[in-house]
Amino acid sequence: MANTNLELSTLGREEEKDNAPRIEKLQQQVEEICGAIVRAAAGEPQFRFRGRRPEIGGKPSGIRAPHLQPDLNSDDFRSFRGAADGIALRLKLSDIDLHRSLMPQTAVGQLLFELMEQLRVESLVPDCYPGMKGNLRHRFEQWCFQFHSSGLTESHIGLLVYTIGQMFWSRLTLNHVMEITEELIEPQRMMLAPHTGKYMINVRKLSHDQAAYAVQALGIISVVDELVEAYKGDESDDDDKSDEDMEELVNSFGLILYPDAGLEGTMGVNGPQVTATDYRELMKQLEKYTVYSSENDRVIHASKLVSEDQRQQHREELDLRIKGQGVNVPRLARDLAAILSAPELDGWNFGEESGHLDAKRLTRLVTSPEYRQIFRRERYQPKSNCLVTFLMDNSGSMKTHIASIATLMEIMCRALEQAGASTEILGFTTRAWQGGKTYKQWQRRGKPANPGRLTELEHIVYKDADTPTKRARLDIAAMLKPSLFREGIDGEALLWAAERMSARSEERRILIVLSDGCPMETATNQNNPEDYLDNHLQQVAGMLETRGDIELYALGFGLDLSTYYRHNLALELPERLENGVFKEILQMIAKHGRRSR
Amino acid sequence: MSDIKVQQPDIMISVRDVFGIDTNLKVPAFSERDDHVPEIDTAYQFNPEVTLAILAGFSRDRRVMVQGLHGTGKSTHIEQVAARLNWPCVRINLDGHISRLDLVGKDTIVLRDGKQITEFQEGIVPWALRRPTALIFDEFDAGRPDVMFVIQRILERDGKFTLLDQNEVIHPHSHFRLFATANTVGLGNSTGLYHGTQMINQAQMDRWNIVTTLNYLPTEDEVKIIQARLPSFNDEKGKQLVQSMIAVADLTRQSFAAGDISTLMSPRTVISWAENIEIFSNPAIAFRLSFLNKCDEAEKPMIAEFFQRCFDQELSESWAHQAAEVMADGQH
Repeated sequence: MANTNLELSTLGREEEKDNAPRIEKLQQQVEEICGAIVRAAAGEPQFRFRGRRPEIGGKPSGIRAPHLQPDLNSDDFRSFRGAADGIALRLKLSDIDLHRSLMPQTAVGQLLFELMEQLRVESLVPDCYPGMKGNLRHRFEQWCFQFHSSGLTESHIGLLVYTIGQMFWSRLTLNHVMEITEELIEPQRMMLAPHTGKYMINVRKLSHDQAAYAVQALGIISVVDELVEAYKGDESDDDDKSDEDMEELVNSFGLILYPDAGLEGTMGVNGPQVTATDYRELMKQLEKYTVYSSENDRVIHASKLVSEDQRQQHREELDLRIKGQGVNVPRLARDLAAILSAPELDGWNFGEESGHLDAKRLTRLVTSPEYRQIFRRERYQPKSNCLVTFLMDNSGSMKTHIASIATLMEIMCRALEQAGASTEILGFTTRAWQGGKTYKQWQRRGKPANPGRLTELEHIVYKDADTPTKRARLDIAAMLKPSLFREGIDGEALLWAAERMSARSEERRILIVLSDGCPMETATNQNNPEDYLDNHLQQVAGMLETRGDIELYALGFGLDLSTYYRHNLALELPERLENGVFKEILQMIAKHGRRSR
Repeated sequence: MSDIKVQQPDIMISVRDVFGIDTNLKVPAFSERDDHVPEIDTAYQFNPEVTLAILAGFSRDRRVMVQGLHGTGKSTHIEQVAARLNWPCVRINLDGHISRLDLVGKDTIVLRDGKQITEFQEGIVPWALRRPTALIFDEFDAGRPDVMFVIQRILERDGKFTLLDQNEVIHPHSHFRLFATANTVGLGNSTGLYHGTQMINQAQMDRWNIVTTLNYLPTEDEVKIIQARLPSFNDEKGKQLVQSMIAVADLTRQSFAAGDISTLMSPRTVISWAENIEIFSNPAIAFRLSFLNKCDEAEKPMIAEFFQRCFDQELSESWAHQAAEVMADGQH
C-alpha cells in the first residue's frame, strides 16, 4: 500500500488530500520552470529538484538558506522565482566547500551563517537583471513577513535572528529595512551596534570576497552566540523550554528539512556525464539488496489470474469508458510516430538529377540529351523500431485510479501500434498481504536479522510485446479486478521489466512506470533497516538511467516521483481523458528522448 | 563573371594596424580592390584567435575550417578578413541541392551563329582554382557525400583538379585559398539542432590543416557590436538595454546547453531584435517578433521567464498568468 500523502504531511489538513494530485502537478510545473532557470542562470546543467531538494549531479547541493524554500500553499509564484534566482546565484558565486569548512558549531550560528552567505550572493546580482533583483527582494520580504507574522519574532532568539537578517539585507542591498518591523528591531539594533559595528561596516565592501566576508560574518555570529548563551542563562530555571524554543525556531527555518548529512546520501541519478566509478558505486550498492527467498515468487499471465467471465465483464466496463473519451487516436499515433521514428533506408527515389545512374532511363538520355533526370537515390523513411513497456504498480492504493489508468494505457497502446512500435503491459504486486508464505518461513526459522525482501512477488503480464492490442483486449481488462491489488516492491519489478526489454530486438526501448507511491511492503519494511525498499528503487532507477540502454519515465498519480525517477510527470487523470494528458506524456518523451539518443 | 585584374598580392600589411592584434606579423595583400572583394563592415569585431587562424590560411596557404554554433558570424569573419586584405572571395553554400555538376561544370547547349552547339560550361570550382581567390564553402557539413569527394582533391595543397569531361588538368593558382564553415565538427546532428548536417568522412576532416572554433563573443564585445551597428543605442540607457538583451540571449544559450530549450538566440537574432526595437520602440514586442515566435509552443513559458529576469516585465506567454489562477497568488 503506498503512502500517497508522504510529501504532503506538511499540509496536514484533510480537505487538502483531495487536492493532492493537483498540487503535485503544480509543484512539478513550478519546479520544472524554476529548475530550468537555475540551470540557465547558473550554467549548471546537472542541477535539478529531486523530491523538492536542490541537487547537482545527484548529490545534495548543500544550499539550505531558509528563505529559499517557498511553499505552494502560502507563497506566490514570484517567491518561487526569487528562490530559484537565489539558488542560481549561490551556485554561481559561492564556493560551497569553503562555506562548509567555515560553518560554525551552534544551531543558531549555522542558521545565520547560511543566511548571511546567501544574502551576500543575492546582493551581487548584476544590473542587467532587474527582474531577478525584483524577484529576490520580493522573496526575502515575503519570507520576513511570514517569519514575523507567524510569531517567531516574539522569542528572544527569533527576534535576534530576524534583526540580523534585516540588518545584513539592508546593508548589502541598500534597501531600507522593512517598515512594519522597523520599530520592533530598533532596540535590538541599538543593543547589537557596539558589538557588531566593526564587522558590519565592512560587509558590503567585502561582498565580492567570500572568505573575507565570512570573517566578518563569523565575528557577528560569535557575538550572537554569547547572547544566546546569556538568554539561556536567564531562563535557566526553565531550561527545557528554551531548548524547545530553539528547536522550534530552527525547525521553522526549514533547516531540518535539508539535513546536511545528505552529503553522503544515496547515490542518485546522475547526468549523462556519469563516470565509470559512479556506475560501479551504484552496482555495489545494488548488491547490498538481498532477497530472503525467491521460491514463492512467480511471473504469471493475466489470463491465468482472472476467469474469462470476469474478464469479459470488465472488458465491457472498459469499452464503455473508452467510448466516452475525447481522444484523437490517429493524431496521437502521428505525434508518437514523429517522436519515435528514426530514418531508415527504404527503397529508391527515381528521376533525380544526380545520384546513382538508373540504367532504365539511359535511353532517355540518348533520345533527349537535355534530360538529366536519369539518376536514382536512396530513400530514407522514418520508421519506429521501438518497444514501449508500461509497468504498473498494482499496490492497493492504485485501485482508485485503475479505470482511468487502464483506459490511458489501452489508448496509448493502440496509438503506439499505429505508429509502428511494440508495446507491453506489465504489473507488479505481491501474492499475499504482509509477507505471505515467505514471511512465515522466516518466522519458523527463528527470524534471522536483516532478512532482506521478505515476501512473495507476483509479476503479472497483461500484454506481451508480440500480442497485438486487439488480441490482448480481454487480458488488459483483467487489471480492473480489485483483488489483484496488494503491496508493491518497485525496485525488483523494474529490474524484471528491464530484463524482459533487454531480451527484445527493438533498437529503442522505453519503460514507463505508472505509480502512485513509494515501495511499501509491511513485512519487509518492519524487519529491515529504514528505507530499505526506497533506497533499492532509487538505486535501480539510477542504475537504469545511468546505463542508458532503456529510457526510463514515470507517471505519478498524486505523488511526486522525482525522488526516484529523473524523468517523471505528475498526472491528474480526469474522468474523461483529453488530448492534453497525452500531449504531456509525449512532450516528456520527446524532450528527454531526443537527447539521450 | 568578370575576371580578376591583379594576379598576385603586391603589398604586405601589418596585422597589428589592421586587425588590432598584438603581433608583429605581416601578411600579403592586394593593393587594388576587385569586384570580388567583399565590402568592409567597420563595426565587425574580430576574434583574435580565429583571425590569426584565417590569416594563416591566407598567408601560408593552409586549409582553414571555422566551426561554431549558428549566428556567431563564421562566414562573415572570413569575408571581413578577406575584405581587409583586398583578397577576392567567393562563397558557396553547400546545401543539399548543390550537385557535383554545379561545382565542376557541365555540357550545355548554346546558340552560336544561329546554330545549336554543346559547350562545356565550367563550374565554380575550376573557375576559382585558376584565380587568386578565396573560396569559402559555407555549411560544409551539410554537403552531400558525392559533392564532398569533388572537394577532397582540391583540399590538398597542390592538389591538381581533373576535369574528366574535358581531358584537362587544372593547376591551382598559387594564391588560390580554401576555407569552410560548419556548425558541427563533422560529427553530424548529435544535438538535434542541425538537421541536414552530415557526418564528414574522416579522410576529409584530415585534410583541413586548421580547425578553429568561433563561439559567442564576450558580453562586452557583443554590446560593442550592437552599439556600432545601431547608433541609437549609444547612450547609457541604450547600453543598459543592450546588456539586458544580451543577458536574455545568454540565458537561452545556457538553457540550450542544459537541454531545456531547443532554440537559442544567436548574435544575429540579438541584432535583429535591436533593429526591431528601433522600429517598434518596445523591447517586448520586438522580442516576440524577432525570437519568441520562432520557439516551440511548449518552451515559450520558459523563455518568458528569461525575459522576466532581464526586463522585469511579464510576457503574455508567461506561466505567471497561469500561476495567478492556481497558486497562492490568487488568494491574496
